[in-house]
Amino acid sequence: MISSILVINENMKITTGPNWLDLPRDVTANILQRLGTIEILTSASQVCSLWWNICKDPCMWRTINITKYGYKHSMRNKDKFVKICRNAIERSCGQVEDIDIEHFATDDLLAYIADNCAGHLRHMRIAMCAELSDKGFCESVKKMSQLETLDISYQTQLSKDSLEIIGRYCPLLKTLKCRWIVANDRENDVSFAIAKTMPGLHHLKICGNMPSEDGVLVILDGCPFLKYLDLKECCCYYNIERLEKRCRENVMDFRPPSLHCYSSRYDYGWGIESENWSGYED
Amino acid sequence: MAEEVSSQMNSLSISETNPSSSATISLVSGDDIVFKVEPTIAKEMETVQSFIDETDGKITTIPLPNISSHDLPYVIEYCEKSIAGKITKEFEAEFVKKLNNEEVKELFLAANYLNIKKLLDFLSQVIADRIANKSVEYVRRYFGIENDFTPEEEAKLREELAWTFTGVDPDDEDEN
Repeated sequence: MISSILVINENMKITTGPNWLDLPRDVTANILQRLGTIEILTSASQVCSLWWNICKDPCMWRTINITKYGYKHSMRNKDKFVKICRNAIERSCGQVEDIDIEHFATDDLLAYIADNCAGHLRHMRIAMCAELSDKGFCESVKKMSQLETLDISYQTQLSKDSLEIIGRYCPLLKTLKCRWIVANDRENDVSFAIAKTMPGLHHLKICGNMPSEDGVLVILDGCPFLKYLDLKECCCYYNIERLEKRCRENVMDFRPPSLHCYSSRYDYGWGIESENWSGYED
Repeated sequence: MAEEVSSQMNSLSISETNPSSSATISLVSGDDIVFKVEPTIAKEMETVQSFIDETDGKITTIPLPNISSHDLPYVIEYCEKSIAGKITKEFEAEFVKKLNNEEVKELFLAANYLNIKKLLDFLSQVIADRIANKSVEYVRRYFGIENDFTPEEEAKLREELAWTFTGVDPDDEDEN
């Protein structure tokens, strides 16, 4: 037994310089999967025939991430980005679990995602996509019954109806992030929509000119399993002590608003960092 | 009471014939430097642990000829932190700051050889970050991979990807 291991080691020692092509496929794939979708397509897959082959594997496309290109670049290349996204979905053979796209999503693209990925899609982030309509979003999200995490930050066109649709059609939803979705929520409609339709929520990050303090209490009442509530970027006046006390009753992690949110979030919308769901970055 | 003593005696006698139960493990790097580590560290290294298991713990000196004495301390440091449950983003950021491209690659291969899942995942991300947004040629150079496409294959590949665009060209403002 010892000698056999030593022989193997001896052999490895003889080879001059590591040959990256000798690595097991899954080890190489583990690196390449961490690249963005566009990088896999336009760079990694063209490196050599082995990598080209590895990149044909549907499991390489379980995560689709087309972010970090900024507003101008994404919109200038909108058609290409949409095509790349569709191509990646095709390559996944319906196995997409995680989608993260910014700026360029349209109603059509979201409908395509819903029709082709709904079976396995558990995490979705659609952020800052100005061309996505409330109606288009609602129609598509109705099909995404497997969603566990959803980030719709800066989708200002979404109404409280879309939140109700999410709640009704995505029963597994545990995490919701909605930063700056509606301009104001004087009647606490958004809070009521969340409280009424998402009782199973564990994590909630919400910000903008809402929710009001009453809205927060409505959410806390309606979502008894909430373990994490992040209001850091909220621009509302709250009686923090009162909220903290209430959150302590629910034994949860509460992030109160930071007082400087207005100045630090002045440039919201552009170049905001992507919040990744897969855990390799946040 | 008597039973306790006898079981203690028992374990003592076992440890005499079976020195691995608590003895340190000696890892010998390719350039013949010996690193003594606790058995818990060895456990993190699946390849080392299975070697120990296969010899029923009789052998506690493990030659690792393809890992250098330069890389092994990094591996051990990571494993120690991992056992202590102290792998934080800050630690990882500091850890990787010390490493140049060559060292990252060497450590990756060491982690792969030793089969340390957490370290391998971490270094996979580090490598992905370092080749992100780079050209095909850069990635080939980084890994020392030859372009083995035939001209025909390359033409076909270009055709297949003609609808994308060559290279990623982010706005200036988006560059880190």
